[in-house]
Amino acid sequence: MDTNYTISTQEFESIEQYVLGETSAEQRLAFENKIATDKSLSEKVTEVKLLLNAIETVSLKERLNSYHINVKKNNPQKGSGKVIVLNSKLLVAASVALLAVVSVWLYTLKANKFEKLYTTYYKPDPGLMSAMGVGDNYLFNKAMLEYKTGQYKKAINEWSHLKTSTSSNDTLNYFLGAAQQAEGNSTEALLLLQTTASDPEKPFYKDACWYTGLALLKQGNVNEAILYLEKSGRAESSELISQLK
Amino acid sequence: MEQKYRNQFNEVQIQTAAILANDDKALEVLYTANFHKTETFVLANNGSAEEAKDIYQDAFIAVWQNIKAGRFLPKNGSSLEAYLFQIAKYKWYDYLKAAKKISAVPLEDNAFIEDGYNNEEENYIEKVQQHLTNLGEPCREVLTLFYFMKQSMAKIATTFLWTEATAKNNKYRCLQRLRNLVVGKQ
Repeated sequence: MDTNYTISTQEFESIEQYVLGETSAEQRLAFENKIATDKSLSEKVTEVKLLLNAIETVSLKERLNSYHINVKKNNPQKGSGKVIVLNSKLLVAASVALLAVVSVWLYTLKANKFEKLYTTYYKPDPGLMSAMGVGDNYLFNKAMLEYKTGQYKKAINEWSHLKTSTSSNDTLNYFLGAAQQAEGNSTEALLLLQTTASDPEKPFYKDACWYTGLALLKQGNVNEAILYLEKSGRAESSELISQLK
Repeated sequence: MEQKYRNQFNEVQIQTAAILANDDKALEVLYTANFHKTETFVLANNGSAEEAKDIYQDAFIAVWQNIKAGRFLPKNGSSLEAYLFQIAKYKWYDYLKAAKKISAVPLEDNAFIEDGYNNEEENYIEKVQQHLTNLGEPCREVLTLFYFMKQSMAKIATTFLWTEATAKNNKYRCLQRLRNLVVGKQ
């Protein structure tokens, strides 16, 4: 399986629609004809199928253990059928699967103008002054301290835990995004920051617009980036935008 | 989910449709109702409770895959349960054989469970699984909500306060990021 190609957004969308069965019978037939004649398309379709299937499989696997908890509850005679327990080790599943996928990727690292601009303009949000509090606040502030001292991974870890337990706290959402961005995970950062940048009433709205704009810039989405940068009200934003236009 | 199908289809069709839709309840019922049979079998054949669980979960995934791929179509509820047990049994014998505890899988239990993937493809799937576990939030959540929970883009957009167009873009970005991790690009 040679995966040395890129799949554009449009191409991906048409493949996905086909794979998920969202096309009409006619479209389906037309697409299948295309696959039959276009070898690279056919390879991409195979890969997308595998990718989507694997995502589903992982999600199911994770659920099985929670289903299993209920099995235990309804099982009065657990272990009574045990006759002999041999000390058999688990299969070393990986040992067989050593058939290496040989795919070579050319690192076409384009000397990226946008990335350079990103580096020039991006400075992590300085974070909040915090007095150590109690409860969730204590944990939040502890992670804030880590964030401010550049221990982004730790901060991400702790804020992620808090996020699942306290759901939609905008400050938390914003700073988790800020930490992801500082750590270099611009996709995750973008998703989080866009949530905060959705509502001008939010306290971190303008900052979120600025950093969303930068994250989009880093990914090369200039037009979208400009929209957010314009809303950020930052002094540097017009200067940056003028270099993008 | 079930109400929609109630009038037109019989029980097993409803169950199959629910499994295809990854309906949490339907999957859990299928899982919990059938574990004991496999456990009893494994315990009686040189296995531990922990091994029974692992083998059963493997078999469960294989059955789900085969239903999804149209390789197995349950005719009735008991045929689905029998199929699940048959695969678990086969997998256990196969495991014993690999551990050299038996020399061959008993002929009548030699269930044909070809999953249709070659080694390269298996390898690819394994890598996706591995990297998905490391993919940060909320990327993982977006992908799970869409591809497993089958939520609409509109609903996901509401959850994250995005516009639907943004949600679509973000889903694509996350997928792209996952793919890059899998195929080794930065």
